[in-house]
Amino acid sequence: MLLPAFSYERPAELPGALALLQRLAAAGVSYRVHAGGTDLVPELKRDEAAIGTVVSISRLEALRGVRARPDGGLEVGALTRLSALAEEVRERFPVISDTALQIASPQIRNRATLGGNLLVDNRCVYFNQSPDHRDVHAGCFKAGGEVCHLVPSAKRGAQPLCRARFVSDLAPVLILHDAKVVLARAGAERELLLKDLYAPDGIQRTQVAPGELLTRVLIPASATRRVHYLKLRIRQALDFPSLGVAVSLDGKKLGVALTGVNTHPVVLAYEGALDATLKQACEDGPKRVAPLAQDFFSPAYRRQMIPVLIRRAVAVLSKKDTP
Amino acid sequence: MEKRLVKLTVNGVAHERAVAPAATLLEVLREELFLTGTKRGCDVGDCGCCTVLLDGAPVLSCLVLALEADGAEIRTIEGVANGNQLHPVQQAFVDHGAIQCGFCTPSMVLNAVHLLDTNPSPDAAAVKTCVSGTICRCTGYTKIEQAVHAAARACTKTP
Amino acid sequence: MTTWQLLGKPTPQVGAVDKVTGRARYTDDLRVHDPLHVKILRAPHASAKIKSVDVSAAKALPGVRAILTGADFKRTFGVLPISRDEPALARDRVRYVGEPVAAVAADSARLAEAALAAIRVDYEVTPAVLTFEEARRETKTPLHPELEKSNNLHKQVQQSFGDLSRGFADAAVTVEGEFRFLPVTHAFTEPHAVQVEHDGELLVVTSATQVPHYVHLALSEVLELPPHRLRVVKPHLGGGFGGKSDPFPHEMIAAKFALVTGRNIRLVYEREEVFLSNHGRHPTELKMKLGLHPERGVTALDTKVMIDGGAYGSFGVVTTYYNGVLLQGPYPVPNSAFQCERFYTNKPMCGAMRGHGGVNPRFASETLMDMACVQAGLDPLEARLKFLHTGDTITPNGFRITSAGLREGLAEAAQRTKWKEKWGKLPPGKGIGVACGFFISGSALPIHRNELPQSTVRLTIDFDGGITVYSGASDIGQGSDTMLALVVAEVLGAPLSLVKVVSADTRLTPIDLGSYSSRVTFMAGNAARNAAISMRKELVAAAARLSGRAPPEYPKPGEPESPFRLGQRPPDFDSHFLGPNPDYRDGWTFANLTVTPDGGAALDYFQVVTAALAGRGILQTQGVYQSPKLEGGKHKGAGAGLSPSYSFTAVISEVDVDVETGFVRVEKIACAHDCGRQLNPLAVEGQLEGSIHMGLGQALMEGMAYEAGAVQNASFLEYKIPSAFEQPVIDLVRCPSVDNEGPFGAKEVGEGALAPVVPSIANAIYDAVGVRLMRVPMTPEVVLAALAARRGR
Repeated sequence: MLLPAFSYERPAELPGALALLQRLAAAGVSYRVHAGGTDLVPELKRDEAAIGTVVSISRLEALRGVRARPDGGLEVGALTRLSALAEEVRERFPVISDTALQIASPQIRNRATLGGNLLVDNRCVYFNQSPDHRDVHAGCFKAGGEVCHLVPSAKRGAQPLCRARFVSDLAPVLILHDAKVVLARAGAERELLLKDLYAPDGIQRTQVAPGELLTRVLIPASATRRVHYLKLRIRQALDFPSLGVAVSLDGKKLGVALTGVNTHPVVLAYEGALDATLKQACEDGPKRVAPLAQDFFSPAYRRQMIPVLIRRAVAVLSKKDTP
Repeated sequence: MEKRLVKLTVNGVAHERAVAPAATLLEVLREELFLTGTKRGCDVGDCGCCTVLLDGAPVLSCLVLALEADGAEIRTIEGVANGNQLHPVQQAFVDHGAIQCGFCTPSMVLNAVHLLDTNPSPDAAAVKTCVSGTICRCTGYTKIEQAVHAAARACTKTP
Repeated sequence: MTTWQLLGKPTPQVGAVDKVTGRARYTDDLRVHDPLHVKILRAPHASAKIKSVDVSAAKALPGVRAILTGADFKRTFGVLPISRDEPALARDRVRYVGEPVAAVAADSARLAEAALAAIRVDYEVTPAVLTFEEARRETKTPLHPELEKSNNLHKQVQQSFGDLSRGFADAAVTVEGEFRFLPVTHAFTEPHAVQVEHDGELLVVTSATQVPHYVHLALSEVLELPPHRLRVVKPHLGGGFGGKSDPFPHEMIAAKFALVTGRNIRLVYEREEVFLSNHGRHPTELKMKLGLHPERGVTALDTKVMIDGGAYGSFGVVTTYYNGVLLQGPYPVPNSAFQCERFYTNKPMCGAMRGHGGVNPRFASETLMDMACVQAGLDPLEARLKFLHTGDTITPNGFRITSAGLREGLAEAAQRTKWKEKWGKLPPGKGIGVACGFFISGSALPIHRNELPQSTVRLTIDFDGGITVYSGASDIGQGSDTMLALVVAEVLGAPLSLVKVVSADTRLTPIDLGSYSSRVTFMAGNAARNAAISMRKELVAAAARLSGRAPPEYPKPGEPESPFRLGQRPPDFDSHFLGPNPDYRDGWTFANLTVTPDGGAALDYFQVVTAALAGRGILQTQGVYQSPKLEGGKHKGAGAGLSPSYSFTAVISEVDVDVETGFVRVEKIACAHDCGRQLNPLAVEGQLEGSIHMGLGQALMEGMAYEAGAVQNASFLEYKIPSAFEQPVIDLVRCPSVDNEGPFGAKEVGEGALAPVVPSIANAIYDAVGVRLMRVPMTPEVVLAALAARRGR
């Protein structure tokens, strides 16, 4: 598939990149940030919409790599490739490493980045199609059209407008680590809890403002927290999560973060005796998500699997508890 | 769409080409450099057939903008053998019947070459992972995995 | 027969080094001089009238050299002469989403694509026929009015043998089921591609096709060009599995552009276009009832099938028959009836896919067989062992079964898998299941009725002693070139390096019907063997002259002693067809480049060749294969499924079922496949492992998803082919079988093993968790629903 025409910038330094983004944002030029390209390039190939500029940040070496933080946590550059991430955090955060290795394929993990996975575009069976295919069903909101095929009653102005589903594997795991992201813009940066990065809409997916760039991910240390992630998919390679369940245990705290079953990661937090919190999480999980018929598995099945996977993840963590 | 100069070292040969931003590395390899051993199976990063080694690591050339590869060392399937001397991975693929239609073979070979470069004694899981990034519809992967294991043994025997 | 020198040993493919170094050229790897690039505009509607097509704006765009629409093609085409119903480009109406409507040839692919957007097609959308229910309905506007029918039934076949009601009365147990199958597709990795070059008066069409001969015929028809002005070439090919066994619109379009523009043409599909073109396995709804007697086996089998053919005929008439006739094995079925209906619907057409027509009914029959055994208190593996066909049998519908060597293989597989210790005895969630299968080794009747042999091979030896095999057979990755080289080298005692195979080039190679229906080893292999035997006769004559001996006396074959033993008789040198698998012992030994008379001194092969070439310049022989005239019975459709030989398969699957998630993990598969003698074990194993992969995919996850007639999962990401992680550990069991008529005793291995994989998994799931699944694929949701239904009972 041929890529459409676009202009391409590949700044060499972060300040230059931020200045460029600010300029493009101010001028109202539509742009897309290219990190590893594994999510962006297929989307561009399938998109007829005019793309102004692709801003490649792949030369910003400052955004690559993992550094220890004084508090014992880690600071990971957003441009760190998933294969490198898996290597470099294995000792400190094996669950992050394992999760990274469940994403896509080895070749994709050699290009795809941490930032790219956290900001991976929401997916929908009506959107991730060729322009020809979109002509068949009429373009949906996300494709610039005026309809949602999954929720036909949706109208512009509705919230959410688009139900394309969130599919990052790393987000739920990092959320349960209380990870923060650093969003930089020319001359300034802000920190945001990862769980607050996302917006409940398949088009306006994140809080990243025009001109901003996700540069780093901060993962605080915790002596007591343990996290496990289970990914539901029909094949053990290539596939996005049909459902991803991350579970954390930290003393009396139980955390659950779900991916693949809503427009954004769904986070649940409980405190109390594990029997009770677990029961509550298993009851709440299926109610808090909105899976739609846009995946290999039906919405009902994905809902049904939430408590199953929560219990299994807790079982794994509990087993690790008692050596 | 203004073309820009991109410098690539492909199988040890330096090339300079003016390419449009919309050109992928796959297109440049196949259409400009006539290195057609790199296959175009889906062009959207699903099948794995277009794998090349970019600065030593297997990547999908259909997802790499040619401009992103500026300055990179690329190794394609054409650069694996040493003249007429097959790489042990290639020889193992031939000997073990890991090849049927051959369309996924370049990718499978390059992934295996990279695996053995980085992990000379891979276990079964490492070999499966190495193979899992490419779709093969002919072999059911069985003989491919056997060939990678055999190549690993051959490599460790002849350092 | 003397010991084999080359055959029977694991031999790498003759093109393997080219494939492993990237030198192997596939169609789109060829760089024809200065081609125009073609892109195709496709229908966005499942069913619509084309009111007008306006190409004027597109034609005016820079770089656009020609545009074709349906009006440019007078004739439709199709692989079967009885259903030539497909246009190269839609005329008047479109019948499926993705149907080619117009095509642009331009200076670059980008310009061609841009021009597509400028073509204006005015459609009047009409109601689409998408389901069996809709297709059965009376209508004034069927998809194919030319058939003059009042509904969308394309083909209906019915056959019955014996006395069905007496058969059921004889049964100790009777079981039945209703089965449903999603459509699946080949998903070969190389997309369709074609390039066209001018060579004087000749149009050279290089295409990724399994059937150059049929493409040649169809091009001649559609382009209204005499056949001798065409040359169809298949270079290396990246997988077919039946999906490249029809002539395709893109081949017609590319060739037409070459004629119209006088330019060379290049066309390659996007992956999505491959899915839209489909030709995969038919969506199927099937009712079956089976009667079993603990001593006499299957007493009765009643089958009613509906298959959804999509918009055009393709191989569909054959599929319609195969859904029933392949049930005549692997066990004798004295009383049977089947009815199969194929419907036209507004979806991409279905056609031939590995295991053609036999896969879905096999799932039903082997599931029911398992149910019946359980009900009758029989061990399903032992029962199968007992009931399998024996050799030298004529089935009630007239199939002549020569070799049947599965019994020993299945017994061995039972031992290796420890069946007795496992079946019914594994812990909950773990299960083991068995299923058997039966498939043709090529069709005894060709698609086009004519007097030509089904396979012809030309063999030459040149001054340098080099042996060249010319065959129309299409190596699609299965290794048929290697098979041809091995067969010829074996007869002539030459090393493989001396043999060059030139194949699948309709100008250079003699007629062969192509690579489908598991025919190539049996038919082209026999033709190559015969060409080599005739060559051997020439060389023996020269060697006899050189050594001052009398040439051997060749005995006449005489009448066969039995209709099951037409092979391994002396070659009939009075006929072009020497006979199937003749016994060529002639008192000489050809080995290691020497030619040696019994009790005499060895002569150098090259010296013998030089002597044989004296005064002739080139040594040339031909060999043919012609299926024996099989009786097959007098009933309508008696030719369907008639094959000179049949393969048998048993598959034992071991599964782990997660009862909470419904996930089925197939841990091990043992497969015993009776393919006669194995000419090249490496290729045999590869075919079986590949068949298991494809069966596993259909069993657990594959299925084309349609909405409003549009394929929703037209990508390798969303159409779920098993990855390396899903492939089970495989144990292949040899069957000690020799087919009398197959070349050197071989028969098919490419397709038959797929079908039993699917029900063996279903039967293993039953053993694991006690539910019978009748929906394929057996996804986790299907498993969970069945478990829930059982709990609800």
